[in-house]
Amino acid sequence: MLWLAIHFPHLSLELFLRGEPTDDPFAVYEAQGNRHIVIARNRLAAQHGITPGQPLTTARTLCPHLQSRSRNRAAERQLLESVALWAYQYTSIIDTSPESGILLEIGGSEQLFGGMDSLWQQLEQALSEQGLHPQIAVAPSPLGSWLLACNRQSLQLRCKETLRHHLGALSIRNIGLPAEQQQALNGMGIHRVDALLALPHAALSRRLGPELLLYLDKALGLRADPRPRFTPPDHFEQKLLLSHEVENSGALVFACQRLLILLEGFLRSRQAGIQHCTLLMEHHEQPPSRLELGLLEPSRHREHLLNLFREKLATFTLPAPTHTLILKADQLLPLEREQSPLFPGQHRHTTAWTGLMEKLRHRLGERAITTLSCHADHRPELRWRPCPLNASPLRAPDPHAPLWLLKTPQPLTRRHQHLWCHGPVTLDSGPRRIESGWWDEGEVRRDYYLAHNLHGQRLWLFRERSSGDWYLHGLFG
Amino acid sequence: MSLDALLQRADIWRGRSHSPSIAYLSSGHPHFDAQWGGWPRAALIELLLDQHGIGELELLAPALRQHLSGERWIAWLTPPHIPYAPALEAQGLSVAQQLWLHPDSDQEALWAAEQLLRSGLFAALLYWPARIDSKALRRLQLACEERDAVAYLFRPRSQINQTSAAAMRLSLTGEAAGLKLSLHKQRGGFRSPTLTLPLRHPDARPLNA
Repeated sequence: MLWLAIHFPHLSLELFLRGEPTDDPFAVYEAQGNRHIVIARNRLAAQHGITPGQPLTTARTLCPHLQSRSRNRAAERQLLESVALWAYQYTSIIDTSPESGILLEIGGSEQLFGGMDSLWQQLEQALSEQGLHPQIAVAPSPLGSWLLACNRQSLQLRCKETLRHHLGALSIRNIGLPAEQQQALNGMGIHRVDALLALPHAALSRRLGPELLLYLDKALGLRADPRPRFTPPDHFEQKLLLSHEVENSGALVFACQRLLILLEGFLRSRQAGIQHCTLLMEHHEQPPSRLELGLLEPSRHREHLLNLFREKLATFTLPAPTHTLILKADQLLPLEREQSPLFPGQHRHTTAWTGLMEKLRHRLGERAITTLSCHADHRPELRWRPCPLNASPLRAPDPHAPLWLLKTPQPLTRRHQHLWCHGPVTLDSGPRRIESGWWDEGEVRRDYYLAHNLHGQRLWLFRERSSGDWYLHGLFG
Repeated sequence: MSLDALLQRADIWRGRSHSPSIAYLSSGHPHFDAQWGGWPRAALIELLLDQHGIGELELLAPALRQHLSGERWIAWLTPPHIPYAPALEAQGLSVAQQLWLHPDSDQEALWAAEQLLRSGLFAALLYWPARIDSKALRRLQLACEERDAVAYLFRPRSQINQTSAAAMRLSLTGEAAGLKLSLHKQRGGFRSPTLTLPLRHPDARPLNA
């Protein structure tokens, strides 16, 4: 058993700042008693002299243009769960009970991900791409790895002796003991864990209760410490809070990227892809705006989805400023392996094609792109129809047909007793009679003629048999 | 630099003959190829006409058949009418490799033109722009060169005086004898500036009353 602890020391801050990069001093405060106290701040705010523990009013005097938000514990918990969801692609044994991080059992996954160093690096990098900066530690026990991570000991320990040695160096203030126990130990002159471990067990147990020994044994890996297992839901729904309200939809691309990383991780862990997802943008006092994304084929490829979102957001106008984004995807489709760039020759045409079509459809709208297929019908306007992109069209030539068909037949006028179409019309040949469609109320009884005018246009005309009216239906391009 | 090397350059106007080093696609019309070499490859071609249905597509049909002989597609972008599938098939132009786009705005159409050409998935683009400026023409020409595609642009004859980066510019007029082509620009110099192509008359039956 090998446990990897991911501790987020700046969770309450990064919750707000990962939505977009900010140039403003920013602080998070919490209500303590009847005052607002700063609990976290970014580097810019620190430069102004703002520190955790200060009242918010003091902070504001030090820095008048300070941006601040109230701590959102519920959102922090959701963020941790979303990280767990993302981490599920690395291991299925995840504990989300700590308040500021998660624990992963990665003994089984180490080899799969190319060794511990590679796995560590992947995790750090991927979390950084999500706007999170954790402290990571690895140890044979979950509590041991957690304590190391909380104390900024980024170590990879595999055996219990070295774990005991490193835990021993920690101060007893930082190992999660209740305040009374800490005070009692201080009173006994015990300040470090190794001193604590050196005390006789029976006496310690009598003095401070048996739970303390149990706790220490769990940390050292001497006792089992079963942890609750995180079970991921079947659908994906993740929220991202923005540090300030955004009015321009294009500026949401950065935030989208964060959410798509989570989505990709979630889908990869379930060997699935999606063909549809929704982005909700929440506003104050207004129902949220929606942006739907549809794909031609199942995918979980983050870059692909981001490009599609980018195209859509470029032309989308927000009705009001938004403060929160929610990405939802509930229909998961099996997708074992995505066409990966490791195999350039294979499938590149198909992926490039669907990619281009999706891009065009998103910018121009689905109705602006049509494929062509023939269709069995005598009525010329029905002798062609659009064909779905993945299907094969019907190919049925008609040597009498003109290359241009008008969208609707254009009535011809008469001038000086001539048929008129951009000039006097001369008939060349005909008629070819078409009578059809008596069964579906689209009855057609027409005589078709070939004609031309002075401009050299070669016209395809017909005369309605019932009314005697003449129409232009096509042109021989 | 020797005379031979100098003569091989594509940017030297050679008066009455066309340079052999420029690649042409056969137009399928013998007189066209003899006079003008054919259609330039990987280039922007402008066809200026005021009326549709004078034989402009029949002119291109042999070239389009060649474009479709590989795996790549042809796109019709904002054409004046519907490209009619049964007629396309009759000309040997498979509808399985053709796409019709009709976006709402000029900017969207221009954007789509560039996307289609740059994708490398289309051998030819047939485009009827409402408005297009010299900069955009230049961009399309570059895209054609880089991705080995041909863009046939159909524009009103009034635009003849606009500076254009197109490799070839032809104006088209319908006449009794056939389709009259007037050459305004061709890579590598050109011979006589006009040509009339007698076009195949559509299958005719004698007029009945």
